[in-house]
Amino acid sequence: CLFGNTFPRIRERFNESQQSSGRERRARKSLCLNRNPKILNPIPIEPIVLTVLTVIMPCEMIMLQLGQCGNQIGFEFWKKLCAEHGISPEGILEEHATEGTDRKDVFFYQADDEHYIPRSVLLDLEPRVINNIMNSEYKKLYNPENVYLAKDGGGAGNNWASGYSQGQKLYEEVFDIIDREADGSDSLEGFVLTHSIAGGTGSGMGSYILERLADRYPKKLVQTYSVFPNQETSSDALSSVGVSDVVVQPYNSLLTLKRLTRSADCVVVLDNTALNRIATDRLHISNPTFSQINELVSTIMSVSTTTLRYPSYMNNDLIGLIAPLIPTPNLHFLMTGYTPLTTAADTQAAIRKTTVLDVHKSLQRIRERKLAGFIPWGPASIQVALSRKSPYVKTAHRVSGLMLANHTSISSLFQRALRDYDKLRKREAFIEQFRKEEMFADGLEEMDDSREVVQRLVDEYQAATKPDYLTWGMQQS
Amino acid sequence: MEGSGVLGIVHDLAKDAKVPPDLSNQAENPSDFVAKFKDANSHGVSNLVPMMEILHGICRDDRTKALFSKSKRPPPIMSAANESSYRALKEKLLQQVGPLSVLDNQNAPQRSKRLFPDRPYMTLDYLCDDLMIKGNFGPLGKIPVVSQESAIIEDLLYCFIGIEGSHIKPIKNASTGQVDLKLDPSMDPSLRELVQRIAPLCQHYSTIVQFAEDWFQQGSGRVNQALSGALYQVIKDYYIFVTQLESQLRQHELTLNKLWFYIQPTLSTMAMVAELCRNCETMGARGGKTLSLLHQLVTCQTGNENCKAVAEFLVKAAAKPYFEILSRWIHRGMISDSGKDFFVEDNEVIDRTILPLEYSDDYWERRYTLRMDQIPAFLHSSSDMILRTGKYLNVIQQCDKSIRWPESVDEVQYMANPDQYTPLLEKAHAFASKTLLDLLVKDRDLIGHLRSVKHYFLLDQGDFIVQFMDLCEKELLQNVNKVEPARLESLLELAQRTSAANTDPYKDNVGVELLPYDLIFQMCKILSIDTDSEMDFKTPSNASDLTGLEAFAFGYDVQWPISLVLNRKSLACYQMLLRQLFYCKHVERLLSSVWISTKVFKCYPTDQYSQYAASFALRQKMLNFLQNLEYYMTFEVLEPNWEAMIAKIRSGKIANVDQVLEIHSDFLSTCLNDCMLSSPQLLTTVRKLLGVCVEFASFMEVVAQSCDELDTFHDEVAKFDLRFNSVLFSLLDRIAQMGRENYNERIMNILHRLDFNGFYTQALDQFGCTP
Repeated sequence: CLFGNTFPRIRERFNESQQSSGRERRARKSLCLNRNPKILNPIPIEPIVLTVLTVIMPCEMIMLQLGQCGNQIGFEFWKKLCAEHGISPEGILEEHATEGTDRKDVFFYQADDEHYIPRSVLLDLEPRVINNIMNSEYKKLYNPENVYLAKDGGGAGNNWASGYSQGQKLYEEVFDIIDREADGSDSLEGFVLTHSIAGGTGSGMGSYILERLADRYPKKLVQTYSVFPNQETSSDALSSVGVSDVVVQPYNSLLTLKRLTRSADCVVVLDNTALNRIATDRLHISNPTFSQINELVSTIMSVSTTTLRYPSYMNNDLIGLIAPLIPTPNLHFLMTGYTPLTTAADTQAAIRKTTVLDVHKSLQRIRERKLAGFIPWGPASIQVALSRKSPYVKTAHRVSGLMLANHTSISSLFQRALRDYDKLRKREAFIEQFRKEEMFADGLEEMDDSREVVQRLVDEYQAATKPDYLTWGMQQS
Repeated sequence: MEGSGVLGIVHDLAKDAKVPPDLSNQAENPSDFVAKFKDANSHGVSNLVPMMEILHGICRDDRTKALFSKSKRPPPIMSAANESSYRALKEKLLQQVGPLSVLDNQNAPQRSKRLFPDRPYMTLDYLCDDLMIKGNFGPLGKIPVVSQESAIIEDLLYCFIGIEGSHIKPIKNASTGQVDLKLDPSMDPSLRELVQRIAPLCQHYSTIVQFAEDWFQQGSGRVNQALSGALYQVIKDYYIFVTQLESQLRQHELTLNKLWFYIQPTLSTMAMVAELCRNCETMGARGGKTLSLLHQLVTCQTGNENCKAVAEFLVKAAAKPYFEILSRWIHRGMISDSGKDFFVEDNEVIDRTILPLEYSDDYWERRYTLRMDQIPAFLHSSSDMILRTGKYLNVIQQCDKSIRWPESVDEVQYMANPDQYTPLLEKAHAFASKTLLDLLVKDRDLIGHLRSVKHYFLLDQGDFIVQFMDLCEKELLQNVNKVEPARLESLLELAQRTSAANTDPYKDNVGVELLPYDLIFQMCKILSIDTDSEMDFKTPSNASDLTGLEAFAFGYDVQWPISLVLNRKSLACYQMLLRQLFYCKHVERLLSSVWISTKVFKCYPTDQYSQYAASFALRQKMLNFLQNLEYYMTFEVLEPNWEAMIAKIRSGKIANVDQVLEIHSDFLSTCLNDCMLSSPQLLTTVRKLLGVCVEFASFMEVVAQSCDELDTFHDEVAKFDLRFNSVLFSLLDRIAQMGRENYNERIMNILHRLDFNGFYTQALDQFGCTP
């Protein structure tokens, strides 16, 4: 059986109700016969209907927000989702949104008739960001049991190893929350992790959680939205806010990249460098703030899930969306592009009026003029997934587009990470911080191993540009 | 001897109105015979008719007669009145008479259409019994010519009104019904010449009266009855004319020449009417056909004012009941046409409430049909509109009793120019079509229903279908005999309630159907209709071998009158689309689950991981094909056509429901065609390709669980790859061919989609052939 283990509980309950007492069975039968609820005899049926109906919702996703950056973009994401689904900051369904045909239950669960709670787990080792969230107007939105703050509140000190080992220590408590959420959803499709790979908590603890998720839920999808640090080197980069101020960032990135390669199924790369450039060049924001950048990120996140939330003919589950994008399991790093990219403050940016037809036309142009290069070892195409957009959010443009691409040029990002790492590693700079942690106390093999994994990833991406990619692995070995 | 014998039997057994004349003539006293016969008939003696037939047969067969006369005593049946002995006699006679045909049908249908069979003297027509003709002519030749003239005029006047004179006797030709005047042979030759010129008037009179009396009876239809009434009016006028002539005669002012002069206009009018009657008779006209003839008559009489007036009078009178029927039909949608005159025929056979689905299938096509020969010529151009008007009103009548009928209804009457009906008919048609269209689209929410059908049959509501497949996949993978429909129904309901389909107000209309044939069979069956191979697809051969998945389809119950649009035919089209899409979705899910099962391979060491590269690439190829196929079918075929259809229905340019039906069926046939469902070769190729994908998916699931057989794994994957490629190439080839042949732009799109990066073109080039 292919999908047998996906919803054991529904089956159980269904079987239960099938095998239930005669009275219930009769009731069940009459439920089948009387499809018009008005004719239903209300007395014996009610409890059975409720047990059957409230349990299942397909393709549910659990969101894990990790660390400072993860929680910030997560916060923006939920804000956006609330606006799109017509849910107030308190989690109450607004009156104008009760008739919608959107699917709120992909990311929310319904506490009662009009009360929606995000299926989200907030994790951090230091209280600042989470406290900010819990003091905002959205404080009532989240399930307080899903907010986890490490008790000492000291944070990971931007140290991957510290985050990783704290993750190990807090394993029980954190996975209590995650397991409870997973148990609460009956056809869980997967997890979405938001974090940055540069800091301590998001990268270190995130890495640990990724490993455990892959162990514990091998059949579930693990998707991450990973913010890659700003790697602009020159002095002008220092002036802008998004620039990483973490000196051990190359170490952190590399160690996290290994886990993203090994344990995540799909990584949406949010390149801070690129985002900054978009903010300054396109939106003409000279000094983009964190929240402006985060809003861009949350836009990308919410748009990339619209086909799940506003179902149409295709791509209605996450697997249907990402499987065609990821030809072989290793090549699972996706790039994003979005048009028109705006922030809330800047809706007046000059945007050319675009229609769906224009999109098709430009795709045809790409094909005819061979404007884009494709893998030579298999069929590949630019797939368009059309989706409705939220009727509650007014936008100046009728069509907006998100591109999710699996492009071999992403390897340049990893190459840069390798280069930065090598630079530091050669000098053994700041390595002491890591040696303090148990994991690196006996040696730096873990770093070497990570480097090897990332190097192979780069190699594989480069091999994928050649026609003999399919036999590449065997040539190597 | 035979005569009395015959009479004896008649006395005992006679029945029915018909007495074969040659039989009565053989009796000793024919009038007695006839009287006895009538008497027996009026007392309802049984088996009279067959008895008479036997007698008739006996009378005409000399051998039997001789046999009877030989026997000394009367045959035993003479006194026997009971049926069994009569039967025995019949048997016996049949044996004796041998090859004689007892029933001679040529003689049987005598003119039975007499208005007064019991009272022959009631007729206004000539009584043309031989008896009267036997009577002698008066001694005309002996009187002077001048006196002869007035006698002849008097006789003629009698003859004009259907009474035979003493010097002029009308003789009716039994076969043609034509009346000839037999003149006294001693008549003066010059007078005779004149009389013979005048004679046709009598003939016309006889013809007209004969038909007026014929049509006066029940069963000739309301139009012919009305025409009969009008003919009596004409005859009445004619009588007045004859009376005037008579008063002239009394005043001794009428000569035969004057008479000839006076009757000129009357003669032509009567000739025209008689001609009409004969035409009607020869064509067996009734109802609309009679009106057509009358209309033709009116339009032909442009030169003769008098004739034209009469013709118009006749047609107006005859058309009156017809227009009553018409008016009721186009203003209320009901037919009260007992005489089957009207050109719209009501074929209601079954009660709508019992068989709603079949009923609505047939309703539109078959419930009301046109009787083409009954369409009056002057309504020919608008017959279709009239049919539709009533049909619409009838539907409205059936489902909305609260309809407000227009207050004043214009009286329809005959008008010489057919164009004059148009505004009136158009007004009624506009009312009917607008009301029904509003009823369907606004009141009964046709578009909402279509949208609901789209959710379920065209898989537009993706989350519902994902949910439904999650729940049902296991059930549907079984053999169709093991699938429990009730279970599927409840799972369907679950899926509806837990997805966005829950907000669909018509979700209860959807049900699950397990068809006894798969998609290819269904399509071939439809395609083979009216071809030689139709018989090949009468019964599905492998009904029990099907899996639930192959047999699965949704059903959709709709209420009258929405079922006019969503009838069984269009639902079958939707089902075919659904089955194809559903199967594609299923295969896509299988491949996706392979993706999930093999995603753990990334943790394998490089050498092991790279072993699987070919299988990943093949899976990707399959997924790419499937997603492109689905995308093509949904976003490039279904969605744009759908939008166009809804836009058309909503545009306000639609005038009636027939157009809606047409738009809808156009939509379906375009979709079927563009989704490659209307070509058996394409469909089987696509199915074959999907079959390879399914096999590969199950193969990979096994591999993912146990990684032992790595040696054969490569070969297996290579084999799958080869199979997939060869089938895909043949599919691409077919599509390219079809696109070239039919200039189908759209279908070429899928070629571009599938081969977006030129991978297959290159691969084909390597094989040394081009698509």
